[in-house]
Amino acid sequence: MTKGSRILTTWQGLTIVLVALLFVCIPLFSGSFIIYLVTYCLIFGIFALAYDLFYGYAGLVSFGHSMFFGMTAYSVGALSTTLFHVTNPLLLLGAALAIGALLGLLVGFFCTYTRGIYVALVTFAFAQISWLVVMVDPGGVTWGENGIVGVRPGPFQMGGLTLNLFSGTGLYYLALAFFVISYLVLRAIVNSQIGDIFKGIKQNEDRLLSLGYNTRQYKILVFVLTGVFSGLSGFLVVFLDNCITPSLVEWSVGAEILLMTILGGPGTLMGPVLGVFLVSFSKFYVSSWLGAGNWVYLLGGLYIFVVMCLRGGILNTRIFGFWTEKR
Amino acid sequence: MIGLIITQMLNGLTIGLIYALIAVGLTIVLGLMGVVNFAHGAFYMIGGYIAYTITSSFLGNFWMGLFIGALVSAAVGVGLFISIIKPLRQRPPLEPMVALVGVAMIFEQLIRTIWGADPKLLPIPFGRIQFNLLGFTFRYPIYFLVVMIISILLLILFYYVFRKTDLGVRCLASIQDRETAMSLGVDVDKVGRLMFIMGMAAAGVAGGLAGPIFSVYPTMGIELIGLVFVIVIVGGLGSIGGTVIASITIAMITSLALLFVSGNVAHIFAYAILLAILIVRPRGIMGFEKVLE
Repeated sequence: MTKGSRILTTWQGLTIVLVALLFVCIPLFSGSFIIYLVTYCLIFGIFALAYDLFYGYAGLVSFGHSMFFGMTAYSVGALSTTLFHVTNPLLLLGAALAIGALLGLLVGFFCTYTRGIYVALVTFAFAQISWLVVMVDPGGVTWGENGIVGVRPGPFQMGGLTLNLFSGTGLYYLALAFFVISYLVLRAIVNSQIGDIFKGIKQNEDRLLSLGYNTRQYKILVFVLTGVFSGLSGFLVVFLDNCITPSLVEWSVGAEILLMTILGGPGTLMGPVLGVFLVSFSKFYVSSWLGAGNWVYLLGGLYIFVVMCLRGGILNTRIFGFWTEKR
Repeated sequence: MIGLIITQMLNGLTIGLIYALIAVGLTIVLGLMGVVNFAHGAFYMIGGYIAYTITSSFLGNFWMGLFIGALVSAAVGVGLFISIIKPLRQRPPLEPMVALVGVAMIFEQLIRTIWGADPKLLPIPFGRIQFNLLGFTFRYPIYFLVVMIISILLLILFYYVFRKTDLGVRCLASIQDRETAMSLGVDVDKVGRLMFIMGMAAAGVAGGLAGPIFSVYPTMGIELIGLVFVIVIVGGLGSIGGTVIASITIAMITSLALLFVSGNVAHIFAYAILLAILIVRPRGIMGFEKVLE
């Protein structure tokens, strides 16, 4: 089968239709908490997709993705509340994506001076710098430890139509739409020729170099792309709780997305999203059942277990073979 | 002002030596095994908490606390090495790193469960000393000088083991070229285990020494680990000399910056140094070429 004419197998098509139907219908039959939780998962799902492009496909390791995520959230806060009073959501979205891309460019520029495990440490340093900057609160932009509250824009108005897109069910469908778009775009990217180069960087960068590819440019492109999609999730997460706190920038956010990626199955796009759903649902339910402190033991144990016993992640196991089989 | 600067430089030296004690273990394990030990901060924390508990208990002896803290750290280190680091050594570096993040989280929560979340502060032992320098009179805590002496002695010991003993030479050879060293009969696992134990004990001592200065609290390890990574990269992987120079420089700069700006801004300077070094000299000031690249 040639590259352009990839089609889905029956099982894959059926899965997609069923899952899509389920997600469209969720708000019809569930309470506000479930809607909130699924919205949360969808937003972090976009973040996981961005991370999977970076780790699962390009083979780069980052411990600083919280920066892309948190700093775009803060840029939305700065534009809408602390510095300016922009209320147009499209403008905020554009700004968030631009900031994500810029941060990706900046970090990519520095990180491509090094390779391998150093990239993880440099991104970690960047995450720490952003957290420190947020805590220092330069010029009253971030409001320090308190965070920025009340950033949700009013209902979206178009002609005579008023859509409450930034809370509850409205936010759910917004996140779902953005998630589907991100998934399709990233899938197109990883299946394209550029995607092949990304995979080549993961497999053997030296060979690509000797074939005459300037891998540095492609790696910076990966950083920019992951920055843009992390920025998109950072933009959405602002409206989820209607506040921006320094905990969004903490390195542990990036570490958690990494865990979810590894748990779900890197290099499959949907695997990391599955990881997000699993971890988030168990976090909310188990921590209310065991207590928040004991949840940390479970999460830490999960990190160890996944690495020791579950190589390749859930979606790469045999049960999900129908999904990952080559089309 | 000059008096203040000199005091801050002395503080910077003390803190830098503590950082160096933490960082030597990390740099050797990272250079030798290729494992980024995110749980390293946990050992610093374990040392600190055990030393705190022993010192403030009926035993009430600071030295005893330091010693037992180091011992416990080393013992937990052996357990960690056997259970997690050794089985994962052959994997791509990210995988052990993720498992060790899990270990770090579990230790942090364990400390919270046992000792509670609030910081525990010991009084600084030994009182103060008064001395004249450049026409200024200082009253400086003796304890800081004790910390300097202990750290310097331990670092010299580390350096001696690393450069002059059979074990150290094997370790150095494995860092520079692991395959060749292994084919010549170096048991990298065994060397790694011994070096790991030494590194963990040093981190435990550092925790015990830092306890009276910074107080002990559950996030002390994770807060420090970022800075220690900076030190390790700036110093160059697997280089003790580079690590010591990097830790003292970074601690000096941050503690001098503290005179003018807040603590968080001072730390931003440290990370800025890292980025500058990475561009000018990616393998660090004294690192070997092509380690882990």
